[in-house]
Amino acid sequence: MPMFLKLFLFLLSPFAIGVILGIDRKLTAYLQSRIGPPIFQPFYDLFKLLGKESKTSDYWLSFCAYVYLCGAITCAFLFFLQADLLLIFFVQAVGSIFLVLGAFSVSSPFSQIGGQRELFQIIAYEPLLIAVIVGIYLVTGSFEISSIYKLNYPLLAKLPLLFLILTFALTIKLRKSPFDISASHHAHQEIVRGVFTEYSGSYLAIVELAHWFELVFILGLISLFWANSFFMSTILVFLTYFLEIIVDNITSRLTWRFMLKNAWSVGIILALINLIWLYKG
Amino acid sequence: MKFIKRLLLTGIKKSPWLLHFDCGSCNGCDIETLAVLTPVYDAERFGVINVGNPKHADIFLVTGTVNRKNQEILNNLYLQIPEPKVILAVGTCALSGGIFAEAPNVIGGVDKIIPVDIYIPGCPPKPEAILEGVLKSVELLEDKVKNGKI
Amino acid sequence: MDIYILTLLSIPLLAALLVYIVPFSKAKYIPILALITTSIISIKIFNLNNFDSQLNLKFNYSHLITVLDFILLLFFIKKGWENKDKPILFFNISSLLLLLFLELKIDNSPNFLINIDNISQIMLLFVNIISLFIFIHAIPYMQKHREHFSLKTTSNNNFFCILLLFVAGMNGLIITNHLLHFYFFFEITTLCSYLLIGHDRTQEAVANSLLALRLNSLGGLFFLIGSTGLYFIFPSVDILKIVQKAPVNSLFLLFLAYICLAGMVKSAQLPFQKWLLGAMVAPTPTSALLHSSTMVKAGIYLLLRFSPLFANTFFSTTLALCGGFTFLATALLAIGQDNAKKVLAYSTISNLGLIIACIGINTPASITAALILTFFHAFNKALLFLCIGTIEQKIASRNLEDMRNLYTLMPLTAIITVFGAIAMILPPFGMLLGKWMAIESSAQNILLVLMLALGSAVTVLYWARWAGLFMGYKLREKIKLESQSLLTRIPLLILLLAVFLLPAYSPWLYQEKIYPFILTYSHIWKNNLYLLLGGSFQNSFGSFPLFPLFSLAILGFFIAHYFLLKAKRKPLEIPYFSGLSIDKSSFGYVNPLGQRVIPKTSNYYLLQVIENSKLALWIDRLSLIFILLFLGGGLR
Ligand code: SF4
Repeated sequence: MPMFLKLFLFLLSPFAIGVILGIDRKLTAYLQSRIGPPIFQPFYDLFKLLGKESKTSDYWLSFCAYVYLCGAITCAFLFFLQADLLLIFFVQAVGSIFLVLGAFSVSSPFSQIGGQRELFQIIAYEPLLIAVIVGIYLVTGSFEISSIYKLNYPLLAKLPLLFLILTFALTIKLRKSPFDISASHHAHQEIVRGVFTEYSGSYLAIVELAHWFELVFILGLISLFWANSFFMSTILVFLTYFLEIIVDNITSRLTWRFMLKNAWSVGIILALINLIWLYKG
Repeated sequence: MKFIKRLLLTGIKKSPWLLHFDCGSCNGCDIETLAVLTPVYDAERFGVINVGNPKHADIFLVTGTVNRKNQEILNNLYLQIPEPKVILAVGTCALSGGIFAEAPNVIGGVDKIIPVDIYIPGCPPKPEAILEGVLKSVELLEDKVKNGKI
Repeated sequence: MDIYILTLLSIPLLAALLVYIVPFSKAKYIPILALITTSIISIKIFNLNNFDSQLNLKFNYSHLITVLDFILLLFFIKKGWENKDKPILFFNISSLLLLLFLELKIDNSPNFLINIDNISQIMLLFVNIISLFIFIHAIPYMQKHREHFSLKTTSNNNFFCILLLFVAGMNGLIITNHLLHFYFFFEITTLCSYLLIGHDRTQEAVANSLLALRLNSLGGLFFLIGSTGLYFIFPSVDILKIVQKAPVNSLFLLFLAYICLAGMVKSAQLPFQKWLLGAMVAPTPTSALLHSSTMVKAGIYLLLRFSPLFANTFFSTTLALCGGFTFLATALLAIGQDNAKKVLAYSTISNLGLIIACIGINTPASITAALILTFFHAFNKALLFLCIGTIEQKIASRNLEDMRNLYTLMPLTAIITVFGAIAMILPPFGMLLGKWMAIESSAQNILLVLMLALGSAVTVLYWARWAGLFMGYKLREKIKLESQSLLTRIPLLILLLAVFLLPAYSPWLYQEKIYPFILTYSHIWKNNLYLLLGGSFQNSFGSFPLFPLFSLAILGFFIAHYFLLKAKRKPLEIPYFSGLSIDKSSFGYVNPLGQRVIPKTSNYYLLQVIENSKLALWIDRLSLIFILLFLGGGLR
């Protein structure tokens, strides 16, 4: 791919994510037999938040929000440059850590608990993502994304279990039910909005935007599983996301203990099995 | 600059997030308010989300009377909502104190404590009325943005 | 060169003597002067590129060292006797006998007593420079410490004297090429550690110092067993010669395992970790210098020295598994800790485990990772320990929960600590560069890579929590810079700068020191060396664009900082607490009894899930299994 095309795609990606999130809300509404918001609703929310006053309860919030954004943009950008996957993963961690740090800097119990839980989410999905990346390495012999595009068969064929794990990690990363533990969209009574409680106005917008860029990376990772055909990779992304929405709607929240236990036992064991296939195969 | 302002205007028009505060109501108004969010009325059509946090809200929807114990909470929540914001008083109680007005602990309507923009009478008001109030407040929000209140 | 080495060894010793004799008020700056000298020399040595790496001093000091060695062992035996500690007695008496036997047996001495290669250059550099800053920090610290504890039995003279002795011992250990001299310096570090842990003479301190002595004597015994065995298979005590020429057979690997075990004891790997945790009762300069940044690196150094010998063997893989297991297990244990120094201790052990895993993987990329981790870990940990030391003296507690909202009290130190913690886990800083290399190079070994993946996630958890804890502050309280002695502040700032700027230097470090070192063993470490292209590390399976990332990080920092300043123009609001508040500045509520209730939060320490004692027991058992696997890893 020529450079300008990559750049173009990169600039386009947040819009695509916005639309996907809009479709998400529409579909969710459909599943609840509602009409739901317009497809561009996420953009409206974003614009509105950008225009609003922000109530700062700690100056660090602004610092952390912007570092989160910078980290997420870098991560997405590196992805389009087809850089080293593991590196992209670590850059992604910068953003998620700073989100938590911002939540920690306020002494409100809601954001504190949200931060702690977000950390548990992080340690639940991080090993899984590393396992997936290692699996990709074992297939292609390189950590660079560009090497995946050189394969003439889909990665999915070799990494079925790791794909499953990736969707598991995706649910946790998206904070979708049943793993909407640190910041749920619905259960306002419990910890309000968890990590996001104290981010308000434009900071919330920045955090939201950063989350979109993070999604670029995660959904991109999914698209890599059928990288040799553009059409199929798009289908795969949409299918996975659709499943994600269904799961979101038919499950209720579980505790972080459950999440951690399963991510660490079931997830790691499945990863191990798949890696052994590759290693011996 | 103009373009950005336009974007913000569309944003504020299409995404009014709502904080619902039960200030001491008999729960009648609350049930009707929540009904607005159910599939039948589906307020999310207009981008309305019921948020649990004043820091994320645009519309402050208050039901019930203000009493001595919760007046401060009401005021705090009001202060914590970032500009631009609109305050909605729902139900007779919130308007004037309603049937509880005589009670010794009751101060009266919401506007005794914080400025109210839109009053929705009824005991309880119909969900349609509440929905209309919400949509009215969107117009108010828009005006506030236009008049440069942000 | 001769003169450099002579000063490296003798200046700290002379200074130690001076400090011992002259009263402390007068001798205050002697250690610093001495260390400035050694630092300058170490920088000079570091900058040398072509030199005779192997040399002899004008006189042969082997006999002197032999005598001192016996004196040292006798001293340990005496201590064991006084404290009625059977293990110490047993370990040291056996060591004494073995040493006696070896000394009688050995008839050849290496052609060169001293060997300085690229890794010794790196080690010398950071050992001396870090010691310098820790010493500077220690002056005000120890003064306060003394007032606080009203110590009578031991004086600060004693303390600095031992620290200086340690620096000399460490320098000797790094440059020596004689196996038994190495042993001697190894035992010197044991001695210093023992004396310094017991420095406060409290009951706990004495008990822990004995524990340290016990385990480290065991390490020494392992070392002697190993070297005796090696000597029978390959009769030489010349380390370089052993590494280059020795025949690698299963028996040889068995004895080599003992030597590695000695290194692992010194680096406090599982299941020998207890002594390092106990060592945290010592005054902070001790923990900073010995137990995190330098002395524990002696074990790593030993392993690195011998690593070319066992490249591409199953033995090496088992070593990597031991390291990986320690990395994961101690990171898990660190979650349950609310004692700041204990967290640091566990994190040290954990990182050393990672380094050992890298050595065990034993490819050019992983050896690079090991060296980079060693280098940056030393700076980073020294910084964090000094921060905690400073904080601890101010708030008189080591408990993490007491350090909540520290930003109000001491903003500068708190922020330095936060940055120190962030540098441990995030790119583009040195530790992450190392971790990235480690994971990439371990990807062939799936069990290991999963352990590293889990471990690194857990590491992120406890560091992020740590950083978040220090960032909070109380609303509407005037925050002004804390006043502290310049001697406290300067080391903190300089180490912070080092932690932040040195990663940018790492390409040169790699190009000039690590790369040539790996090339010297190019017959063993062949494939996938990292190459530097435009400031990014690249090999055939990955690339780390260090400079672009670094500039992006700086850019991001300034953007965020701009918005931070912008945010500061507005007043702060109280955080959301369901609308409840006591007054304008604090959230919380007044309960029916009229008491002000302010909600408190604390970290999840996961005590139910990973009940520390039970988990620790299982970890110890498992680690024993891994050690056993490792011991026999060379048999075929
Ligand atoms: S207005 Fe009527 S329904 Fe609403 S709170 Fe008052 S009494 Fe209840």
